[in-house]
Amino acid sequence: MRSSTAWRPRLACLVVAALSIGACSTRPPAWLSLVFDDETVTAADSRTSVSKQGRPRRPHYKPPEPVAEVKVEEVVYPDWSGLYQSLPRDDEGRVQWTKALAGKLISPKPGIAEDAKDEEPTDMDIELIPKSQPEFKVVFSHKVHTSWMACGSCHSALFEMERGKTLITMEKINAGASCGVCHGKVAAPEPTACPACHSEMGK
Amino acid sequence: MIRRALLLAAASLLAGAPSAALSADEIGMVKMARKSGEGDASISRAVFPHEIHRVAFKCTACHEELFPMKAGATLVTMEAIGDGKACGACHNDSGKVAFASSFANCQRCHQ
Repeated sequence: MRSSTAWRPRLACLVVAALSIGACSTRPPAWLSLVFDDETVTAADSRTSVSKQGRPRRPHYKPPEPVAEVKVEEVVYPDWSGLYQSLPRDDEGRVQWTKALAGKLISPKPGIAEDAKDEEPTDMDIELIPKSQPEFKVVFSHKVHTSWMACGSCHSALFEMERGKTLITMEKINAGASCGVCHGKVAAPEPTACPACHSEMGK
Repeated sequence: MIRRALLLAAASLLAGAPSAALSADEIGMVKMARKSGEGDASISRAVFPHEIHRVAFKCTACHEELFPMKAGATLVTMEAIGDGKACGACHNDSGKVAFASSFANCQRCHQ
């Protein structure tokens, strides 16, 4: 004898089949809008502010704001090379740094830190006059030198603070001592050759 | 003019043979001495051009804190640079001040 509940699996199959057919159809059945309102209706219907059933529509769908992409910050360096190429040169092609700095063509920082503070240059000219040859007088500009360096760069390891205490000779300089610690290695005199320092010779 | 020539002659006599003036490419160009063994002879010695650095920095930025002003006084190794010392004070991965000392940039120093 058949059970009284034998119809149930068959009915279940029918329901599943009906739902499957419904899901596959391109246009959603009209009764779905009763359940899901206007989101599922066609594009043509969505242009109106009232659904077919006369119910007010929900506000138009707005796509969520796109999540801002995390961009790797690319540091763009100044064109140091181009700037270097553009600097004034002496007659032997060397950069005239004093001229470049005085003319504000460059603004070199005194430190690596972003807020590195610059010290005021010491404005003090020192006349160095050889006793036997006053025509070889040298005017040493503290201003030019302290625009780049600190007092401690030269004092007192290279030059005593006390005037006349340190003997400066061309022999020493040419041997890489005294002024020659920098001049002839890392710094060119400006202008070139003897008159750069022995200013009387240039006249 | 004659006075100047005489002065120059006297100066050169006085000074002995003056050292030849360095060209624009030579001045301030430091070629690092290799302190390690032969193992890495395939990697060319690094150079340090003072000139290009002067566009952006004064002497005080690096001297004397990072580098005492004496050739050879600072041991510059890739390990030190990686630790943020020596060149690594600027040439580090942050890239904020200058290009990083990464594999993409070897030849900028090891020319």
